[in-house]
Amino acid sequence: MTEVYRKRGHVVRYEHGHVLRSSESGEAVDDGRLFRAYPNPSPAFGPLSPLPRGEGGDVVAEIESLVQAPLAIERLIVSEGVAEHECGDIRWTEETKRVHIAIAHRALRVMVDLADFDLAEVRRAIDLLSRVSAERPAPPRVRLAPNVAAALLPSLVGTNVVELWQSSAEHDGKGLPVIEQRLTSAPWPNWFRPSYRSRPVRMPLHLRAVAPSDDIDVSAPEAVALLAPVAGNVMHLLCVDGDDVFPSTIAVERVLASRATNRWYPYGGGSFGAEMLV
Amino acid sequence: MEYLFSIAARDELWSGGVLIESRASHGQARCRGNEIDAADVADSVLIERAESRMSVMRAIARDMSDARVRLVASARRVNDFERDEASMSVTTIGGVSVVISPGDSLPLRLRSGQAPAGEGLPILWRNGSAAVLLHEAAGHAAEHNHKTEWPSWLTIRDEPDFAVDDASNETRATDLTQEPPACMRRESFRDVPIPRMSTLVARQYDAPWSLPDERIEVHLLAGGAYEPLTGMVTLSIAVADRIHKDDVTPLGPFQIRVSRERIARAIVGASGEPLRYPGVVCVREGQEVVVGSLAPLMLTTELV
Repeated sequence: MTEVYRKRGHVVRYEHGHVLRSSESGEAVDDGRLFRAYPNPSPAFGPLSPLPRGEGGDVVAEIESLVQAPLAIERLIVSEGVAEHECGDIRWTEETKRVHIAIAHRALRVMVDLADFDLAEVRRAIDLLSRVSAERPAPPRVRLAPNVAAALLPSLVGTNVVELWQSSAEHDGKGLPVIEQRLTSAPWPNWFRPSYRSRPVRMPLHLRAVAPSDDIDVSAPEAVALLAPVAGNVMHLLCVDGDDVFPSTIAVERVLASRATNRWYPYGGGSFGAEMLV
Repeated sequence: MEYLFSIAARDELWSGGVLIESRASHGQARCRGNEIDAADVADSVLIERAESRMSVMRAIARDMSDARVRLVASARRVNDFERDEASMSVTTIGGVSVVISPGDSLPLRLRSGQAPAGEGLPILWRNGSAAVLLHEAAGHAAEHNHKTEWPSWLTIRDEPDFAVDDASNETRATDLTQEPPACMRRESFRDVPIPRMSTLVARQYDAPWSLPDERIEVHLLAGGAYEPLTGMVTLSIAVADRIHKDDVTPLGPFQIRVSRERIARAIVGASGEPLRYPGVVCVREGQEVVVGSLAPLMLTTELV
């Protein structure tokens, strides 16, 4: 059966000192064998939602003011957008905010990805990176900050490191409801479609972890930010233990405790932050 | 400065001679200083030009029953200056990838061997493949103003083959051992233009040349990367042979990971005119651009 998907929207993106306002409208047609995507101003949509308010410029200015030499912003992309979707007879609208920041200090790079403009984790990462000392071996127990745990979860799908659940949401990439369920094995029930130009793929969405306990040992060193993209269960992390700040590489083999938060992060098909003891 | 950038593009994926994905894209970006207003406005002239570049490539893709082929053609206009681009990325069943332009023939060797590369052998970079080595170690390093001392007989330049870049500037050649590339490029109307390499050309002038009997010969690479914080270069070698006098042993894929300074010190000889490597799809800041790559036969000491 041929599936027709339409999307249109605006995005304002702040990148490399530029402000880019982009408006697009496109259509994707998939008959199971051939996927086609092309710009198409759809007559089916009504008036287009207005451009986002433009808070991104303030976010960029704040981050730039926080990063002082010898730290340097290596990459900073802030965007906010609004999109209208139509798949078959299902229609829905979403608003998005994204922050991607990479800050360099000597041979280290802190990376933070956010789906909102709350910069508390960015401020903390910048402060700690400026005080970082030499690499240390992995501590026996580590507390992962919510943004770090969220980055890890997509890599743990299909492993027995922690029990993973898909959280409910109104729509997936085909407009279907996202059902809350425990994730065990593929095929995944829902579809991920980051753009109308991307062929949708089955993927677990809005991940959250469920551990045997929510008793977090607060005396354990805390990992506050990624220093490299997650590779399987291995993470290079910026850690803090009392007044000591150090990089360390951790292979997460078991999650001992997890305390969920409601903050959503744009890793994979989305994941919720959790304070996590590993 | 104010200018209008317009583009039309077609991107297709073929598998086993059958079209499985096709994407059309077009739009324009009105640029004023650091403000860009972009919209998917159609330009029928550019659309026709991009589509016309596809027909030759489609005929080739249709005949490649044992590979995945990605075809990309675009036509762009910056104010009044127009230019086209087209490339084919071929990935064989064995996983070896190569980027070629329409009209190019495929490299003769598209299959890896199985033997381990071993260690300690000098490397002969055939087929212009030294351009990929220098793309990472010199070109990307230059983008970060990282300087390295290269052999005095070697020049490494970015030489754009078009007159106006994607930000409406006149292009110029740059010495990548001294300065970053000057050419601003963007993948689409919805991208910010950033300085990128366009065509890397390495040349040798009276370089030393003595070919050892025992060596590795590199023919094709699967990819490469430069880490600006550490200066480390990673190269994935896809097709290579180990040579011992007249014996040729095809090698399995292997990786080289060394600093750019070590690469500069390891270059000990070169011969002949620059050879055009099939092509490099360079991804930076999420934007894919094709970078032309030419280098002479080049000899390095061991890097594995």
